[in-house]
Amino acid sequence: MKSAVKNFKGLSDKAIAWIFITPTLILLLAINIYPLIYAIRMSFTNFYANKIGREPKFVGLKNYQKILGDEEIWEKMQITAHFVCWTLLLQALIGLGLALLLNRKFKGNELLTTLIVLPMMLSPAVVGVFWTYLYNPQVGLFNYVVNFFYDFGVFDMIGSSTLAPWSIVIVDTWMWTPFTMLICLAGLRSIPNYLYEAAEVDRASKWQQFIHITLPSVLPFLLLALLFRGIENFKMFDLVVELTSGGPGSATELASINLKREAFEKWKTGYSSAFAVILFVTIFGFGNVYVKVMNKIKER
Amino acid sequence: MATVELQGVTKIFDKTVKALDQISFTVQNGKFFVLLGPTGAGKTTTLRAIAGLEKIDHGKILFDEEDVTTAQPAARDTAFVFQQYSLYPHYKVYDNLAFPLRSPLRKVPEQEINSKVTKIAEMLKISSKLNNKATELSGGEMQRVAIGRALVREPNIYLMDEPLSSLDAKLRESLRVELKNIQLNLGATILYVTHDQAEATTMADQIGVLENGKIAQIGSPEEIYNNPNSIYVANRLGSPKINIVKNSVLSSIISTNAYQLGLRPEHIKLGQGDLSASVKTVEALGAETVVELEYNGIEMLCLYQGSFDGQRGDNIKFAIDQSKVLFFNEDGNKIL
Repeated sequence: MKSAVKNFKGLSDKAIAWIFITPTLILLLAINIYPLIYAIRMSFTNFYANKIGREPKFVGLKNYQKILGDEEIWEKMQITAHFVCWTLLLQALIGLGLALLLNRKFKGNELLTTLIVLPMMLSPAVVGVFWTYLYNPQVGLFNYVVNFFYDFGVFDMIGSSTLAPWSIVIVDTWMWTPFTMLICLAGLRSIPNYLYEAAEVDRASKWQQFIHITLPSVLPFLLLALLFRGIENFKMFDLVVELTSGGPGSATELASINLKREAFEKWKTGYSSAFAVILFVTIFGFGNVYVKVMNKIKER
Repeated sequence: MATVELQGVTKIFDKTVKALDQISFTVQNGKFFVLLGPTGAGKTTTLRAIAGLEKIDHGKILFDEEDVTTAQPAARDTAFVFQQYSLYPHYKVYDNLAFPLRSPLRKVPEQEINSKVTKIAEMLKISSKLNNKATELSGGEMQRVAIGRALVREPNIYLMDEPLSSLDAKLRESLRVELKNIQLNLGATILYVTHDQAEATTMADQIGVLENGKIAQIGSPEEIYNNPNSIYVANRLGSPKINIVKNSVLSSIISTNAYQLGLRPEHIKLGQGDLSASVKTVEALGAETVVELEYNGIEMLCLYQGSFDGQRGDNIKFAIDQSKVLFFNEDGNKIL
């Protein structure tokens, strides 16, 4: 003990800082940065990971040209965009709505919050599997409930290529709305009550109080939650694979699912590296623009 | 502007704590009424009850003889300046000032809003800050904006909850004068809550002294100062504080059946008369000096005009202006 203290006494603040940072830095370099650079390098070759012994050839921008010119890829991007946009919209609206409700004081408030948050804590694989049962056209609870309100007859959420894209939107919304709700709730709880009292004395209507006090205070929180959800859903894989495995046909084949198939079923390593780089740049670009906009809104 | 009357207002928190106990007083139209009392006396609760932010358990609140006891805050049309600024943080100073005018109950044309906001901003010397965000202001500026947000309206009454308490001494003094001027110019009805006696005496037309949720005394600052009806009230005003002594201490010069006597420091004349005391401390304030005497084993503060040339341990003669002595009984209430 004593000697350890003695040894540390001799180190400068900078050295101590480096001691703490180094392990993380090494890990980051080894499992993030190096593979990224390696993938970027491979994206300019025609490398096939399953063809051992064959020297990969440098092909320049050919992989990128092929991907960006491929209509099928654009279809996957469209499916991904549909999934991301709708899940974000629904999770924002329902999450904020639930947060507003739970921000009121009533009996059982805390128990209800805990229950609502449960789906978020389940494993995506489990959620995927049991929703396939809920979606079952004959015995599934989902179809039963929908038909209870309006008789659509027999329909197959997962089996129909028009309904399947919505089936994954519904499950993701069910699972992740609690996340936006929790963050919005934190935002709502940070609004001091005297602002509402001041507004009430100033004769502002409830609607004006919402527009002028609640919304501007909670918006930065909501936007942050949506940033996280957006990035996650752009990379969505596990939940959808369990639920639909990209089908029927390729109706729910998101970009990341397609990427996995190209890379580890067709073993087009060079080609899929280029695709991965494109996806990375897209997320990175969107994310940066979004953060800039978000900061502007915060400053306003 | 309206005359605001409270009749036996009682507020009970958690079924047992009586925050307000049978409060009755009237703020006349155009008058500056100050509620004075220490923390926890019920000052803020009284204001909140008048604004409608707190429901009262008994009693009535009347605005120009109209009963508003159960009316919503918006219907009462009061303006409230909160202790903690409470500006709308996402808006500029201009929009904060314009906010009450944009209420759906008011529908003021934007042009009129503009002229009103500009006028008030000039009055409070915050014109240059109109385009700043509310959160980018100093404490003094924020409180000016909060006061301005009340002043842009013409409500039934202005309710102000220690608006100057978080400002530094210099700013507090200048805003105090400004606020009194504004009130006189506008002929505004103001109910102002404070624990600061200087604010009370300089601004008030009438002072109501609160003690544990009850009104201890109501009167003009002079009345409260010269004729307090209890030791509690006498202690509220006057700096340095009034001396309260047992009657036995001064029995050689004052014969009375009162239990306690109250002597204002300025009514003890140093260097004259035939009582003798020793000087304990000397505190020079410039124009006057506070001298602490020890007489018959008790300490008394006296206020000496000009600078005092004496020091600790000196023996000094003093006299008491007997016509100004206040008499109290054992419970601390005044004896006539």
